[in-house]
Amino acid sequence: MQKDKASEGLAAYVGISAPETPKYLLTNNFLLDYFQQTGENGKRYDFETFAKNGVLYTEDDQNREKLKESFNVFLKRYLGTQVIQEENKKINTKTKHYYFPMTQDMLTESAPTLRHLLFHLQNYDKKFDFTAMREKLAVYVFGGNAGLSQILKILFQEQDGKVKYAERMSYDATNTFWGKLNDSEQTRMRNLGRQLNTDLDTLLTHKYFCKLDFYRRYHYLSVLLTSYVIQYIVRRKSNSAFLLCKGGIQDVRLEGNIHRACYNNYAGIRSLFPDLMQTYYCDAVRKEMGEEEKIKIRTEAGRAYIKEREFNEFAVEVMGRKQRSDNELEFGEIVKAFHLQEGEDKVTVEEFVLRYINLTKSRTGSTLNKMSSVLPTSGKQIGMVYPDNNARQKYFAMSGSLAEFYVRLYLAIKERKYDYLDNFLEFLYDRYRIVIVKSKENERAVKSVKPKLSAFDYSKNKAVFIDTLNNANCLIKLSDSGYVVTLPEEKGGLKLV
Amino acid sequence: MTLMQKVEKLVRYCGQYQSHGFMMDERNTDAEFHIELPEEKEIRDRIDNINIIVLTGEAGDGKSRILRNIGSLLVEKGFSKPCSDFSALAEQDKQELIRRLRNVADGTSKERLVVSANVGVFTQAVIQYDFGLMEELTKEREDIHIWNFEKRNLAEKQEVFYHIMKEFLGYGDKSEQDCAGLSCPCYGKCVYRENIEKLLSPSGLEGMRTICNAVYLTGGHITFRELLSLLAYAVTFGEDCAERRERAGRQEDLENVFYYNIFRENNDILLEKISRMDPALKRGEYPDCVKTKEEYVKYRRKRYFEGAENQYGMLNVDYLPEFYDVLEYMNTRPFHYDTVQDRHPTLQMLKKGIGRMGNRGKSDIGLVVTDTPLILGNKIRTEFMVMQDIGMIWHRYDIQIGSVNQPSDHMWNKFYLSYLARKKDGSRKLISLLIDYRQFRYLMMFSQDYYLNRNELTVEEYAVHTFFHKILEEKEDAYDSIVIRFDEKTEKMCDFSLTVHSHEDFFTGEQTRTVRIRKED
Repeated sequence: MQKDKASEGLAAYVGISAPETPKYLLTNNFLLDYFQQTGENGKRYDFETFAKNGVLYTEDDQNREKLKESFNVFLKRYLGTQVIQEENKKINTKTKHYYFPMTQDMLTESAPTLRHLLFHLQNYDKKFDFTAMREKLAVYVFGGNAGLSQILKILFQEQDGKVKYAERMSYDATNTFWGKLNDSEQTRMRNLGRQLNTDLDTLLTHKYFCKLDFYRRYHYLSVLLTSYVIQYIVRRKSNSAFLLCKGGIQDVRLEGNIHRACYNNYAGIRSLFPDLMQTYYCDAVRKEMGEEEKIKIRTEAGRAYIKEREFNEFAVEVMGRKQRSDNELEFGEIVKAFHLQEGEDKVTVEEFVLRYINLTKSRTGSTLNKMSSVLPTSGKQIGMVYPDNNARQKYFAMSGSLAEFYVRLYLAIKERKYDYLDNFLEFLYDRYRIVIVKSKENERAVKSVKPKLSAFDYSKNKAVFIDTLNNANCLIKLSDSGYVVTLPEEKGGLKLV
Repeated sequence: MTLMQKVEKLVRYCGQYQSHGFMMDERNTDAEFHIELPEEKEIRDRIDNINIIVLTGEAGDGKSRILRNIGSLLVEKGFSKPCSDFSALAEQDKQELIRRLRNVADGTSKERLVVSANVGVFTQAVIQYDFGLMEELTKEREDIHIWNFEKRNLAEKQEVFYHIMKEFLGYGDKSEQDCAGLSCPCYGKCVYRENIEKLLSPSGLEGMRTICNAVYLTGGHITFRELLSLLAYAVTFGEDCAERRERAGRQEDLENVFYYNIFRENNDILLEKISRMDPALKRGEYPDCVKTKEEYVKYRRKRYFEGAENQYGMLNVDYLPEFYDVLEYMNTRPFHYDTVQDRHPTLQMLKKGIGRMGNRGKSDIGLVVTDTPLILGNKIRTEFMVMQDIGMIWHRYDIQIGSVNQPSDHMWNKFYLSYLARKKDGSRKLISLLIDYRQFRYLMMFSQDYYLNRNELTVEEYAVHTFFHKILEEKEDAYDSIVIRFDEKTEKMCDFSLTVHSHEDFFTGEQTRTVRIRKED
């Protein structure tokens, strides 16, 4: 794995540096831990590429130009280039072209910012079998000829089906923040890593996933990987943290208390980032200060100094701030933020850190902003955080496509064609800390929900979730009180009493 | 029974409609009203061959009533003490009963069992304690019989429905002597009396049956208890004699309590459903004497009950006559019809709807299988040419491959469109698209160019998409040829096809595969 930005400083402490969007790029980066990048970065595929290779031909010279234009439009869409660009307009497409990896040559690395997280999670599980996972991934991603895959594979002349594997990188968590987590956090992360590997194993081998066409297989893999970024954030937040999810994206029944509670729950999870940042800075400053309990800030000739170092220098060396001429904090800003007088002032470490965060957090592109945006961005990618625009007040909600994914995964894990809705809801909480309704299992945890929700509020949320599942075609109503979840493709042929 | 006594009883059945004050249920019985439901008769006829009887359905479906009626027969035939309310059992007792059912199903126990249960609670317990038992129970074994009342349509058989209405609304003494003695202002022009008479007339009976049938056809279910409530409400509108006399005394207009106003707006779930079917909500013919909206409403509602020939057509339900017609067609031999050869006009339209759903803008009626990956949106669609005009059948809901038994005479509210897949080992498998009313309506709308503006696939589209997908999985070489169609294209673009070509080198025998691109219309 390439040494990335997330392996150093604050980002390493939090475990996250910035979002990786769209979710397909996270998947591609994840796959590059298992497979070599065999294609050229700048390779562009079009009509002429294949015509020149002799794999695409037309007998209709009269319409050749029209066919060429149309084929290129089709290709741009069906190779994923357009989808990836639409979902991440900032992506660099001048020197690199990104695709859905229908063949290994189409696998291109993008700037990795979250991939290390999945790498650590997987490796933290002591039973993780890299080789077996690699083989399963090869079959799942590059195998199968359903749908368009066959024709596209012929065009790409990938007929031998041989995959070039990447070697496993050595893993030693000792010197990373993963090795420094406290016992409780280590256990949480180890469990989460094991859960990720188990889920991956199910997804890669169960017929509910691997019999699908490439696009759906790839989509589900991307959803699973991105969902674990959110799971990581939740687990990192606390042992009892959970995702209070609205049963549907938008429904008038869920206005009022539920909406406020979901918004507060989201804000609570998101506060992980400033909290971790504060802890990290306090540790770093304390280490620097040694025995001294208070920090002395001295002002002199339009400059601020800490321990004989100019403030910006201190920020770079101790707080890990980027050293760039356009990134320097101005003297006036520092004086205002720390209420400095002429001469020398003393502040406690905590106060110093809080004021420092206040001074730097609002800046565009600040570390905190980038890290914090992982939650909404990843959530938006899988259909779990709404509204999916720039609104500040966001909340967790279950979209139809995400609900369908979880139903599919649940039934695959359980090896069942269908199951009772309540069992599925229980599974969502037990395994993913997703709360839709109040139950015996989550009763203690949801006591912290603010504003307090009544049983009627939860039942409204469940009713909306039932509609979401129904619209995703994976619900069968038995009677007023009974519902069964199933796969959309199994629904028509299911026989119940 | 006199009219006044009858009304008193009906009002209690109706009891403000929702409270079900005097409903026949586990607690109350009505000794004077007895109906043998078809299920009861069927149990009596078949009891010697059955070891497990499961009665499921909603509250009010008549499960307890049947158990009560056949109680002595069950004892006589050696059945264990019936479980009359599965929902009320403690968890461990549910588990124990599931175990006993399993033993009987496996043949390791000679017990004979009867269980009455809410379908949701029963399914939940089976899933929890013995998942495989569900398969055993639904195999249609001779010795296991499940009556799911939620699938029952009380209005299906004319004679059964009429019998219920006549038994329930009929009364013996027509003299109205009670009323005369009270010097009732309604005497001689009693609306209750007129309502009962009209409802029991041939067109009234059929009118009520059509309403109930329409609820079933559109995916609803009316329990026995709800039917009685509905009938009682159609006569009394929840008002007893004293209230009515008072109103009449105040010279109030009693127009809104005539039976045909069963269509008026109401908050009750069932009545609300019926109010949406109101013939007055539909544009239709009317005589010159009808001048106002109120007159039109009254005319249409009355006309529905008093002599309209096409009552299904008068109800405000999209494509109901067509749906009913198709279901009747499916219910006649041979119960299955080839999609290419069959010329039933509605089925032709359905076929067109399916074609247009996947292939918008095209008007041909060939079934083309489309399989555009959802994550790419549907502006550029992929169609599989090899699947054009493939053979499929429309067929009854309950017939399966090789089923030799005569299907039951039940008319289902759904049917299938199926593709017969033949596997390499010679086995055959049906891949089916379930067409219930919602799916039917949606496809009919597509066939008539009602394009709906939406961002995601609807449940109905999803079902068709899944159906196509499953067919493609079974079909060899399905992916050798595809057509790419654009929703929007510039003048410099065209739809095109991609076809796989295999070449063998004449000298070396080496196989190569290439792709041919060709313009499509």
